[in-house]
Amino acid sequence: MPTPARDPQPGQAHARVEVLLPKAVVPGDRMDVGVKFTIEKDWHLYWNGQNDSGTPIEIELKMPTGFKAKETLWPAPERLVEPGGILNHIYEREVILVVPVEVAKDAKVGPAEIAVESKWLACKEACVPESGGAKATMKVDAVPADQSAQYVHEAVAKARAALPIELAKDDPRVKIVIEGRRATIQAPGAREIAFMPGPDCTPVETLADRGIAKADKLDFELAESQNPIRISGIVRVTNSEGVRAYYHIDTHAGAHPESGKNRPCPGR
Amino acid sequence: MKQLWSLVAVAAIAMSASVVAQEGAKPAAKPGEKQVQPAQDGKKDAKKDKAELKIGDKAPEFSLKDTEGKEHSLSSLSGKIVVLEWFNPDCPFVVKQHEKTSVMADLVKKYGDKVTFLAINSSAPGKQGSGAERNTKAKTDWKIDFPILLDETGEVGKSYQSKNTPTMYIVDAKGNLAYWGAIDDDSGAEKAGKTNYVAKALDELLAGKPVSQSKTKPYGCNVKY
Repeated sequence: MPTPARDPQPGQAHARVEVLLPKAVVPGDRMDVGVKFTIEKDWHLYWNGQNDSGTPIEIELKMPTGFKAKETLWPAPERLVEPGGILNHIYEREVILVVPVEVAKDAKVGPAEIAVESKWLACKEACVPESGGAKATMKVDAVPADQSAQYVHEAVAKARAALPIELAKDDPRVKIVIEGRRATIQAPGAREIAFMPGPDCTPVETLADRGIAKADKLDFELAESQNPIRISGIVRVTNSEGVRAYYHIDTHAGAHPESGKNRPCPGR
Repeated sequence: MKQLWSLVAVAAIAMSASVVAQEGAKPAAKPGEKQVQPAQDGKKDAKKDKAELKIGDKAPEFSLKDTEGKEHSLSSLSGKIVVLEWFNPDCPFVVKQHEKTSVMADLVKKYGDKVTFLAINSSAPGKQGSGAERNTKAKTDWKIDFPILLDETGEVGKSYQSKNTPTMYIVDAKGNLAYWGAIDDDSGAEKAGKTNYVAKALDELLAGKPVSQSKTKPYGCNVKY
């Protein structure tokens, strides 16, 4: 029989946070700030979409005047199904949240410090609410440097490239059909499809079981008749070679049932 | 915002306990697809009725022993309003409502003479927060003056489709489920929320009114089935 998990000793966090910045930015430009979490082996932190338990990572950036953070971009999580039909979407080992930042034209030239304050729930068997902060400095250059490389942090650029792909309208790779309370996600050529509903998605029934299908089609029922229905989140498509692709979807239906067509959701 | 909470909560009900068995029965997980195998009773679960528990349904009957070995059943409390708290003394969100704040103590103080309180712990043997000894200690340390029932097989927890500690349920005097969800509107592990949903629902029930917000999204740790 395993030993029951104990409360950890104070000061022993199971994840730590870092800020990843490019070396420099030019006023009027935009850049990506990376907020990296390094997570202890076997422990996990939580995605901001729909989960049965846990609480998502929270971050707050403190930046100089003229720096404006846009909506945080969350990498695709992993699906964790535990006894009791408990489904969570989690991050293990390492995750970099990408925060696009706009730098005003009149931002002050010179050194700039960016700090992050963060709270998260780390779970293994036990769950521990933890917090941490970090900061880093960069430069605001008056004129672009010769080498554009210094305007990107390599690990953050990699994290951005790995983010779920935004689907263009009528993209053939993933098709979503909503009929009444029933939704179908199709991905031609897929061996497996998994759907991870985002924070604003209409709740889905029995997701632990039905949120995944070993087929090129995934059917599920929405938990509540609600108008309009919104299907938003991440679709994970595994092809016949076992290669995974992640797509960000955001579709709603029901507002104009007579049209019979889905249309994209307005931005939040 | 409240609207969103209740909508999100629906997803939680819908994921019936019977689903576990099916997930568990699948072959070994692929990389990136983590699946914790359920206990041996998984197969039995699969045969259970898949119907989801809803507000207004008959609350599932149970008969469980408390930390002192005394048996408690829901049917023996018929005619009374019963508050159930899904419990795990080592979950920080349970610690919040018993130790860091007086959220639970305040509820018992205010409603204890009219309402029966029971805690139910569905931690499997050997899992976090399990066993009479650990729960007796929590009961003493936190001066909990209502019974903590031990549901080591997890059957009661699964029949209530409880996924979080602490999830709160209110069973009305007719034995029907009247509230299911979070204790309050602060999903962190530090402080009490502004609105206590359980207090609000109890006020309404005791005044003979329908519960206006009968479903919220529970928050906390996963139940250690």
